[in-house]
Amino acid sequence: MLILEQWINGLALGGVYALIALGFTLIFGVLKLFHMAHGDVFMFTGYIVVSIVVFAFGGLPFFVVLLIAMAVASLLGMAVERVAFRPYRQSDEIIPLISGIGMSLILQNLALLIWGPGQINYSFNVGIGNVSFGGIQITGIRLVILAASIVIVLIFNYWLYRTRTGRAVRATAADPQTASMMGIRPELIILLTFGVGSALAGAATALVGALYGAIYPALGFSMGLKAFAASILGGLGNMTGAVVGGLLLGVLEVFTASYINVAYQDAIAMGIMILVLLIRPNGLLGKAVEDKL
Amino acid sequence: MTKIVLAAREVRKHYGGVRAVDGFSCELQEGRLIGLIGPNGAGKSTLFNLLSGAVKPTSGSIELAGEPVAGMRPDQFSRRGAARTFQNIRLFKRLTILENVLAGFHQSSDLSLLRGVLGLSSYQRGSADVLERAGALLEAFGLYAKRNELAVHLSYGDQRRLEIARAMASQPRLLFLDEPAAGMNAYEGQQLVELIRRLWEENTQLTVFLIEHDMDVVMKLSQEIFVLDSGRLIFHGTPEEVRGSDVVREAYLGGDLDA
Amino acid sequence: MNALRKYALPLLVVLALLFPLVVTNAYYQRIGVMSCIFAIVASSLGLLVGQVKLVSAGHAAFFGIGAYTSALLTTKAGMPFLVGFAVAIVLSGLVGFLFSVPVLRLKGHYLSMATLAFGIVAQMVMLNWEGLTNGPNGVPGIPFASLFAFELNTDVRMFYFTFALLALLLWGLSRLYRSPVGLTFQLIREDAVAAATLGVNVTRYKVTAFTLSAGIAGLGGSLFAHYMAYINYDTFYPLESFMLLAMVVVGGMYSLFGPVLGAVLLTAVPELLRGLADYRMLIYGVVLVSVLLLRPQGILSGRPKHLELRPKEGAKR
Repeated sequence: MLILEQWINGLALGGVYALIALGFTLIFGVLKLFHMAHGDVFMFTGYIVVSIVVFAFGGLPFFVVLLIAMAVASLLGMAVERVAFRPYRQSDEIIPLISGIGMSLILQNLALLIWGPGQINYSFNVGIGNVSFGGIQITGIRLVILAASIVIVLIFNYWLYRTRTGRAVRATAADPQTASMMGIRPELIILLTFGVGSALAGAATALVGALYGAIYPALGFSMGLKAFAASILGGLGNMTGAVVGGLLLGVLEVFTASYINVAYQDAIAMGIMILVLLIRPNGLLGKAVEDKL
Repeated sequence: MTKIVLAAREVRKHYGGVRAVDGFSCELQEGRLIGLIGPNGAGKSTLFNLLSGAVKPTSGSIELAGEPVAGMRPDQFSRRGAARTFQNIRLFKRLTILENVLAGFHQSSDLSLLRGVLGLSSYQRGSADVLERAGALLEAFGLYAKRNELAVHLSYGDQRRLEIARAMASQPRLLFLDEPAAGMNAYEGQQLVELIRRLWEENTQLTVFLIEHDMDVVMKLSQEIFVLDSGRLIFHGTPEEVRGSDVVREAYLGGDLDA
Repeated sequence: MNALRKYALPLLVVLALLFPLVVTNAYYQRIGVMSCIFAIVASSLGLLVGQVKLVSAGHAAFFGIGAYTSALLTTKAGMPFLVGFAVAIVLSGLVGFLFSVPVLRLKGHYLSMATLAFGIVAQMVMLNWEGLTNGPNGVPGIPFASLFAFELNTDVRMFYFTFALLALLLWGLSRLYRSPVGLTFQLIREDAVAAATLGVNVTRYKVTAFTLSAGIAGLGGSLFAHYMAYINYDTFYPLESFMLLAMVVVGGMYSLFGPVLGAVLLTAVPELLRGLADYRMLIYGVVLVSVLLLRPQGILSGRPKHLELRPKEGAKR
């Protein structure tokens, strides 16, 4: 029965990773850009939301917190895009990469200065207590996380594959030039991509907040790494891959922590990432793509 | 008997379900000037990429000077005498004209990586004659005066010529030119044709294989022509034979031979 | 202007040589030594990023491997400094080589991610391999660097030593960058496909650059360990790799002296503005983002001096 509990814990954690990875991989798909500050957008949003929700209002229903977090992250993500990536559309790809690292340093240290280096503890009330059936105990929070991740992924999927704007985003990702000839404004799409991708990270912020109830400046970096790993695991730019990669990573981490050693949790994620890069650079779900000239 | 520079047998390249090149065979003889034509999307550039080693074939064999090379890296093709230019010019943009040509001498100056790293080889010592040969090549291509300018600042026509000069610096036995006159005006194109012919005449063992859209250019330059359509060789003959061929006319139907 | 250029280098060298004699404040001398050490490490990364366009986001790992190698050999095994120093260079170079052979097949961002992951794994090893590295307690009591019997036990001596090594390194790099090998690096940076069609074995050159760079970073690590006398895993965290990248990019990645300038600026300036100590990392970030915006090629935008062919006597035009 313990195993089943761990599976659920792993999937809940994985659901959060999947949300962050989904935003990361979406941005990569459209801009072919590694958003090095994606995790820091996640972290900074956390601080803002905690400041607003817990200390200013308190007791807001969880889904309102979730929406606020998504909105904050969305705005922050678009701002980061304008400052750190917009100027380098024509540049060599290493320039926006490094610019993203700069942005990551800025966000992390702004958080450090504003909210201090220590961990801030808080709690979101998700409104569901622990559930037990057939001898297994699951915290209500994990169920909420699982359900919320599934719903958000489904909505996101609907948006990307069934709506006009979603199609425009995919068209831009596939072939920016043709897309712009068809009347799609690439700059708008890019901004939208960052808005949506960051909103997904914002949703993760609220969910992780509910799970751990703790935030600190370096959290963004480590979450960002999980997102990189999950996306690469599934195949960069591949939406299904990001979700699968996130879930896989979550489950792996929970099992590593309980059967091997908590200390190796992060090392395993990174090790797997290196391994996948070496063996299947296009990810577990990615097709082998040959370089064209 | 003349030597065969390149022999290809049943070379194929499939991208997913698309058969870009679908079983191409040929034998190119030493010292010939050969054209490759075909309608848009016939697979000409893919074929060049295959024969010059830039892309690995799905199946088939390629021999350079009698040695099987299919599946090898591009630098191994280069070491066996192949050199090329690109349809969308690929110069080393932030390097000077001289450095671009020196790049072509890589094989003559690359005697030992370790010696180079330890600072024991330089252009001033040891391989000094490389500098001289690069200078001579630049003069032959009319680029000497601009030798210290960055490649990115060159005019379009000069960029095309520099790319050919760079390829020639590697002393190829087989030179692939992918639409060398593309984007040039009539006068520049004419000059380029002269340049290619002169190069070919001066290097008696050099085989030139070129893709060209401008039929006038191909007909004027080539001794023999391969015609490609939908990834297959549909005709091979002299310019006169190509001109008279119904098969070729058929392939170009809708387009025209004078385009 | 030309005169300025001509005399700038000797002038800088003289100023640097006079620095520890004029500035006797130990705190500033310390900044001087640290600047030299980081200039060495940044230059190693500059070789990768600026010459070959291999963006290593985990270079602190090689810096750390060098530091630990030298520290452990001299403390636990009781070896003399010079042995630790030499082994540090060789071992970090070797690790760089072994890592780069499989990883350099990756391109662009993928490579950066792999190096980032490598840096994180390396730091975890430093933290968790307690039997070797003392884990979180780090390695204390690292002896002074010494040249046989001559101990470099003052800031002044250490400054001259690190400065001499930096000068030697730059001299070597300037020769390398202008040699056929350096040109080949730059060809790969500009267009690896075109370079390959001219006979360049791209992987071989990339591996060479990576090995060399890792070895030099290890050299810097050894100096760092013996100067600080104490190291632990905390110095070699991923952010350190980012700061090294910041030094290279801010100073100017294509230029020989760019990484040096970047290292000196980003080491010295935050220290000198002591009141702003809390803002140090924030300043790094802001400087990085704004330099990219204003001067994407960095403060020093020059590249290694061109190879030149002078007009020949009577050459036809």
